Parts: sequence; C-alpha cells; structure tokens
Amino acid sequence: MDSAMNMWQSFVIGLAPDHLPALVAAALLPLLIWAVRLIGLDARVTAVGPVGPVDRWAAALLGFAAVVHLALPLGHSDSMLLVIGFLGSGVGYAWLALRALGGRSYRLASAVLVIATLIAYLVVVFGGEAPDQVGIATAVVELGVLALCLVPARRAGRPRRFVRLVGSSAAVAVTVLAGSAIWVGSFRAHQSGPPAQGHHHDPTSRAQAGIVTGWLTAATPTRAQQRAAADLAARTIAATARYANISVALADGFRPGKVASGYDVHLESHANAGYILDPTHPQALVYAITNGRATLLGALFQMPHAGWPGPTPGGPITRWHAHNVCLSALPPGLGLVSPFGGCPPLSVDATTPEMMHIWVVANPSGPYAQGLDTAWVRRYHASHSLPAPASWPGS
Amino acid sequence: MTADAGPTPTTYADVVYALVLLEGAFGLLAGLGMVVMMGGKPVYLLMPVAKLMALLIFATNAVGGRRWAMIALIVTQAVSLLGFVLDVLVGLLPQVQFTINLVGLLTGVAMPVAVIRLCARLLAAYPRKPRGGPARPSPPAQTFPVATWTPR
Repeated sequence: MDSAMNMWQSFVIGLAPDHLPALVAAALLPLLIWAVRLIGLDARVTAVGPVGPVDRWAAALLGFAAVVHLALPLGHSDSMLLVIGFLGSGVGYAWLALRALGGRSYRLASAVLVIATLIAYLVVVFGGEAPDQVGIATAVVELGVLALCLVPARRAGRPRRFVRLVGSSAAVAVTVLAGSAIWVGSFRAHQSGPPAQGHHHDPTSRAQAGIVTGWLTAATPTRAQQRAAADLAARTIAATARYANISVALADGFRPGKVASGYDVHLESHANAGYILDPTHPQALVYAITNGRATLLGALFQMPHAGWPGPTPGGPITRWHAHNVCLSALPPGLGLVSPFGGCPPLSVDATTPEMMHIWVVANPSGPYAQGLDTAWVRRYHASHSLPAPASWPGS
Repeated sequence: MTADAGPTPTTYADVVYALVLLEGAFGLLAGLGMVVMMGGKPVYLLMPVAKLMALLIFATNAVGGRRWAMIALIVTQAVSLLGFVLDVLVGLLPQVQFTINLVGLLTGVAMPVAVIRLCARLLAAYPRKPRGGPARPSPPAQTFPVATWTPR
C-alpha cells in the first residue's frame, strides 16, 4: 500500500493508451523545431520578416495541436472518419502554424478550426469515449490559440477596448462551455455500462475531474476473478438484505449526510470505518428516498486511508474509484476538481480514499456498475420502495 | 472576431493577457462546479469572478506598459504556484491524497511559470521610471514594426 506509487499510477491512468503516440509526438516537437532550424527551413518560412511574440506563440501552440492530431491515428485508428478528421485538422493546424510564422494572416481561420475541432472532440466524447488527459491538454492548447486569435493586440493610440472586451468575453465563454461539456462527458462515460468493456464506454475516468478511478493490473478478468466478484456481490446482497427496511439501517448507526432525499442518498456508518471490503460492515448504504419511501440500492465500501489501493478479488470487475474534490475556505464549501485541473481561488485540491459501490438491486449494468441510470432507479423505486420512518426529513 | 490583417506589433504582454484570460476562465469553470455541488448558491462564483477581473485588470495594464501590473501578475502567479505546492503538501496527510495529472501540471504549473517568465522579460524591457524623470520609458524591445510585413 504505497501512496507514492499510487500518485504515479493516478498520473498514468489519466492517459488513454491509444493517445500515447500523440503525447510522445508532442514531447518530440522541440526536437522537430531544432531540426527545422538546423536545416534553415525556418528562415525560408519567415522570409517576410520577424513576427511578434503573439504570432510566435500562436505558431508554437498550433504546431503542438498539429503534431498531436497528425499522430493520433497511430494509436486511434478504430474509425476511418476519425482518422480523416485527425489528419485533416492536423494538416490545417500545421498550415496555419506556418502562416503565423511567416507573418501571413491566420487568426480567423485558426479560430474557426479550433472551434470546429473542439465541437468534433465533444461529439466524440458524447459518443461514448471518455475524455482523457491528452485530449483535454490538447483542448487547453487550442483554447490558448483561440484566446490569442480572438483578442486583438492594442496599438499605439488605438486601445480597441470594445473589440478586446468582446474577444475576451468570447474566449472565456468558449473555455467555460468546452470545459463544462468535457465535464459532463466525463461523468457520462464513467457512469455508462459495466466495468472493463473495452475502449468505448470504458468507465475509467481519465479526465480526473471529480472522479479518479483505480489502477488496473489487467483489462480482462480471469474465470477465478469472475467467480470471486459474483461471490462478493452475493455475500453483499445477503448481508445487506435486512437494510431494505431503512429503519434497521438507522438502528445500526447508519446516518444520512446533508442530502436526505433523492435517488442517490448515502447513509454512512462511522463505526464501520476500519473494515476493508467486508460485506457485513459496509461504510455506507445507498438508497433512493422520495415521498417518505425508501429503496435500498447498494452498499458503498471505502478504504480507511487515502492512497491505499482497495483489494480487487474480482480483478477489473471490482474497480475502485476516488473523488478529487475542492475544499473551499472562502466561502466554506465542497466542489469537484474541474477538467482543466483546478479548483476555485482559496481552495485546496484533495483526493478522498478509494471507494467502490456494489449494487444489490438487479440493475441492467450489474452489481459493479460505476453508477445507476436515474430513470431506471425511478421506475424500480416506484415498485419496490418501503416506508421510511415518519421522522425522516421530507416524509 | 478580431480583424485578420496579418502581423500587428505585439509584445509579450499580449501573450500574458491571453494566458491569464484562460487562467481566469478555468477558475470560473471550477467555481461553476462548486456552485452545482453546493446547491446552486452563486456566492461560490464570487472569488473566481473577482480573480478573473483582477487578472484582466493587471493584464490590461501590463499591455499598457505599467510595471506595477507586471509585478502584480508575477505575485498572483507565484501565489498560484504556492497553492499547487500546498495541494501537494495537504496530499501527504493520511486522510487525503493529491492527484497529479497532465492537465493539472499544464494549467497549475506550466502556465503560471510561463506568465512569470514573460512578465520578467517585460519588466526588463520597461525600465523603472527615474524619480522626477520622463513619464514614459522608451518602447519595449519586443515590439515589431508593421513596415517589415509585405501584404500578399
């Protein structure tokens, strides 16, 4: 249980394997620039004269985006349409980088290409591919290009305040919109389907924006692991059956947090904090509670210390996750780390101990799904709920 | 959309402006996440909006060649870097951990370092005004004349 090792693992797990060639290519970009300078190609490109820092920065960022997109098909050739899109945008970015270096116009075309690429990325993300660190880092670089293109430089005697304000507002709006969409996409990907189902609908949360999934030693479970996972689920269902009546859970010391109604209410037991993956001592129970009626949905197991990897008797089926959260000091509050890797000002970024749900209801995605479909829970709750105590908030 | 008329005379301050604009937008997004988690209370947007405004004021004045704004930007970025170090230190506690990832390093370390470096170059290009001397120093070294550009 080595927490330092776990920190490195959490870094690596954020990188989608099929995006690694693109990351390596981007890391080699400085070498490429050095080679171009060595053979004097840069002098021919910039023959019209020196360009300013904005154009050079834009060229560098466009060059980064070009290299990433051109290298993506090396590991991401599962769709011909995607490959054509990667190559097309890569060539476009490279052409615009050269134009920026050469002192020719590039801003309008770059802004259009960046927005088109971001929309295409979001379509892919909402199509089921979990956003990863390489994809989001490339989006950050593209947003940098967009900011450079949308905000015109001030000229002596011509401050262009209105145009700069509009450009700045547009850059902020696109950044917030793109980040929000990546965030929603990462949650959708995490919650969709059972674990270990291949590239698409892979519930590994590589965006690490609120959810950090545990390290996997193998992608496919062995027969023994499948049996162990089924056994653990069966023991959990048997051990928690009595908690179908929420009054029994309350009598055993389980208590709700701030949220006491809805389709994902957690009742925690501090007395069970020291147990590790013990079906008879879960750290929390998950209920759907509405209109004075409750339905037991599952049990939550949580490791006692952050950085301790949870036991995985079912291999990749028994997949643990943690939450990276923002603890705000002013005003006091709790949030999630954004997909752009940060917290609001005056907040601390911290990752909780690992946890794992085992669902005790016959949901379509199985007992080890990362989350339950709310529409399905609503239907199940309507037909299986039991009365909550009269004193329950909202009863 | 900005006029697309080829190279304009720019300085590193224009790059700094774009970088801190992004940084402010990232903070705003994180603030929105906080608002969602805390039951829709807009008070959690106060600090991100204040930071965005402060960064834009500093960056706008840095573009205008004001040394105090460049120094203020260096201070804000140094505070951001200290925040990253604080996150790492808090992650050493047994109850929590710190998740390091590529995007976090890019936005939490590389961007503040880049802004500090660029502001330091700007400060060197805009020498301190002598007491009782002329109001404005000579133009910065990193300004490029439009005349070198040939329209196509």
